[in-house]
Amino acid sequence: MRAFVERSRRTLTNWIQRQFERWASKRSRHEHSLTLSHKSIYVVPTGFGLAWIVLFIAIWIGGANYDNNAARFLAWWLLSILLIAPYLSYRYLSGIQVRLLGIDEQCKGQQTQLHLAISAHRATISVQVEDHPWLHLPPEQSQVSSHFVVPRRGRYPCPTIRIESRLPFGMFRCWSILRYTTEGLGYPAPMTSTIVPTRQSSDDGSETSVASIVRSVGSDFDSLKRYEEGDPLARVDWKALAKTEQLYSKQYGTAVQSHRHLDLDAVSGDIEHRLSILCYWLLQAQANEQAVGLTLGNEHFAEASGDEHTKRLLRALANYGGGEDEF
Amino acid sequence: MSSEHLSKSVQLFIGAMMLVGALPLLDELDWRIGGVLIAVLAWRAAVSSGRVSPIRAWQKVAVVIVALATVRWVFNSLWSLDSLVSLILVLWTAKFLELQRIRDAYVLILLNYFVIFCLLLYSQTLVTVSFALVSAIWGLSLLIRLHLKQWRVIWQLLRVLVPMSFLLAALMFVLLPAAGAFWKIPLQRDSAVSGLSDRVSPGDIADLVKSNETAFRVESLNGLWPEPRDRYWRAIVLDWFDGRAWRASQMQAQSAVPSALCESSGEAYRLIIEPHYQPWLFTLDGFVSDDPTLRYMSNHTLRTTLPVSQRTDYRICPRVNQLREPLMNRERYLYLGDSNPRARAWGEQLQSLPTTEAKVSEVLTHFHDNSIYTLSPGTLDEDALDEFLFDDPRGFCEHFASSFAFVMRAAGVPSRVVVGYQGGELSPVADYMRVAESDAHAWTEIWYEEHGWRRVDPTAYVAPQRIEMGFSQDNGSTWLASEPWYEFSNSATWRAWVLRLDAVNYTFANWVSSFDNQSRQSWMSSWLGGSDWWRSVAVIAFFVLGVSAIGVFWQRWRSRPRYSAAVKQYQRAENKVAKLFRKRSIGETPRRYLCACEAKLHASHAAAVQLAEAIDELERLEYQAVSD
Repeated sequence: MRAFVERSRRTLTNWIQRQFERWASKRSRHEHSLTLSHKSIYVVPTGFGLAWIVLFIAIWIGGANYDNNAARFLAWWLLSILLIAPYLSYRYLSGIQVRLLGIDEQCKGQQTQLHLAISAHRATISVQVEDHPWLHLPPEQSQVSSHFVVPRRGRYPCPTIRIESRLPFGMFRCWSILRYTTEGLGYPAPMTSTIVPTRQSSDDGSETSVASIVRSVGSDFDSLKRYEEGDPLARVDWKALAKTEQLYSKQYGTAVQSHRHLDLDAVSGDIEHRLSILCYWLLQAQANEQAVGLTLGNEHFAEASGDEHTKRLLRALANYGGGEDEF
Repeated sequence: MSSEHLSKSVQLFIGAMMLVGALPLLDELDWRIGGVLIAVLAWRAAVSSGRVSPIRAWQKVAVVIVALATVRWVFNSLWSLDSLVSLILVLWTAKFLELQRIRDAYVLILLNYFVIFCLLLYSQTLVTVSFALVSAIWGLSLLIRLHLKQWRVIWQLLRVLVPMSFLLAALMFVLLPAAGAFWKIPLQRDSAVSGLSDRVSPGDIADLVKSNETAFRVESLNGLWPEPRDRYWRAIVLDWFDGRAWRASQMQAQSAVPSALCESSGEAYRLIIEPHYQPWLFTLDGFVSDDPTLRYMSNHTLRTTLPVSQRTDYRICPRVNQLREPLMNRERYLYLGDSNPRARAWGEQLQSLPTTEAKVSEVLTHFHDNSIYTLSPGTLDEDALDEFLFDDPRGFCEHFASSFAFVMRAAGVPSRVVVGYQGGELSPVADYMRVAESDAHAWTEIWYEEHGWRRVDPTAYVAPQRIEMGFSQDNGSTWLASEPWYEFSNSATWRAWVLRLDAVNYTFANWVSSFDNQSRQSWMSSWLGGSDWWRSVAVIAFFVLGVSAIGVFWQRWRSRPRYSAAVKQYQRAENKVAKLFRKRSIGETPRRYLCACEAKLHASHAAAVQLAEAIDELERLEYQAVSD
């Protein structure tokens, strides 16, 4: 019975909190920059504020009981501090500009960063992203980044940002809840797999077709070749240079193809699973500086390499099918 | 934030705040409480400086136990004001021992305000109120210091906050009705504050005359003052001699005489009593009070139902019908017990004298011829009155009063001892008379068959200047010259300063305590045109909203965007176009907007031309490099 009461109490308070946050965030939705004002700032007493009220009541009753005018005045003074405090604490948040600089793109389930630029704060304020620990931002600092976990593949709403200040007395918590319309992007969670999801290329006969068994991504020295412009300097065989006064590049003996075309249809299973495997191989290819192409149903991406290209492919994976279905 | 550790300087400031808060209270309490307080503060300071190892949990418990035990040991009753305030003080300092985090600082600051409240219960003089003021503002600045680090910023905040908060508090104090008492718990002091008690044995009053505290003050309601020889302020009648001391018997009947029988003409006084935590009040001979809440006793003393725990004032005036009443309980006023055989024998000898007057003058002559009035009488053992009368005739007023009343009873004359104050000094600054603790006095009243109770002050026959001049003005007498404290306290400059300070304190405290609902109503009627509650609420709301509105607009005005003339010109042109065409969408550059506008309106349209010119000008001024 007790557990039931406790549970329903918690459910109720959670529900009230959720409803309030929904209402509050509706009132302060912005594209990427917003200035805090009376529309979006809420002032609530803290535990200390409540204790101050109790103190006021105790001294007020004492002053009345002992018919003591000086004590009465003390009680009224305590109350007047309490009345002025919300306005003062409001002033510490009002006028602050909070700009969302961006949310780093990252795989689902991994930590990513959200960057905020905060200006015009006169004293230390606290920032919280979702339920992560509060970050304290002194007035001389204007940028803050907070970690949070990517909730899903595809576009996801910007996490809730809370800004809080207890200045100047600690009697009132003055806070604001910020929701930006800018969305974050989550790549699929990479899933290790032994099967390379390549498609047998019908039009390109030069490609080795049965390379579905993975060889170790290698570092075994294989042979030397004449240095060509564009070869990484790390692969230059400096000893050979000393002997022959010729530049040679080391060729590593992994039989990894120099380029590879990944295909969604080459994997079976549910769509998230397939995208995860593709993501894994995309990241592998990036690590190996391997050219990679991608086919996602009707979308085709030609083989290429480089960070920009990989990012393009990862975004395509992220956005495939409009993102992960709502949970 | 609340997990943050407090810096050493903040801890130091908190300690100093507690010292300032506790200091004026220590004056009222026992020195042992002060000792505990200072020891704990010093210990914490030593720990902070790193010289002593950190305090362990059991040590904290031990400190609390020692502190509580001290309170229990020092005070007789745990429920007196003194012991409760001491309890709060020692727990407050014990909390200081574990000051680490911001939450502890909150508790200490809250308690600081409660300690200020306790201080104000004790007294509301100018000095106390100034202390309270400093303490309160100190607490507030510390509270800000916990969150803001720079004193410059704190000072900027306080500069506005302190006057504002006091103004608001004053408004609320003046405009909101003061609630009356919800319940009556008399405040009881543990130690006697006033020198008077309802049990007087030789030596009690002598300790008191060293105190220069004010006992009460008298205001004359028609400009007349009693003659110095008539300034006998009666407080307690002691009618029971227990062999060593005179006591007030328990059966003190309330008088059947209605107290409202006050003579309308003639002298009338207002007495303002400092709290002495006892139920008795002071009157002159033959005076009553028309205050219905006071009790008029059959022995012509005034009492309150509850001990006087705050400054109280009442009016006294002469009784209308000074009728002689019959003596009830004659045996009680003749009861002697079986102590002091020699005094009794002497009294019985006196029974042979024909009249009461003769008996009185016989004893007074004995005093006049043999006794010495002194503040430092010899110690008296068993049968103290015998010893005083016949062996060691050095004594103070209570010696004379006690022995005189005793001998009178032995001689068959009903008698009693009266304790109160004798004297009073007119303030040179304000229009009131001050009666000090040092004016405490004891005298006797004896029963004349034809007149009733009459006052006889045996001290007057031994040291007449004491009665004529008042105790402390008695410069001529030699019997005090040997007392160093007296020499100091009797210097003219010092006395003038004491009286001046007293006048300031009195005027202030009178001003503070005299404001009640009645003065509130008259004040409101003259300033606000009525004393309805909604007027008060309206004024306070007007003040709060008005001040915050001014603050908001001031902040907004200060942080308003400032544009150059070119920008303003552009804005004007754009507004004109916006009316004809459409508003510039977010992110659209002025140039692009101009193009769209020209396409829609016409390039030669006046508004478009003006906009184009404004853009040119803007670009020229804002972006063109300064070439020459």
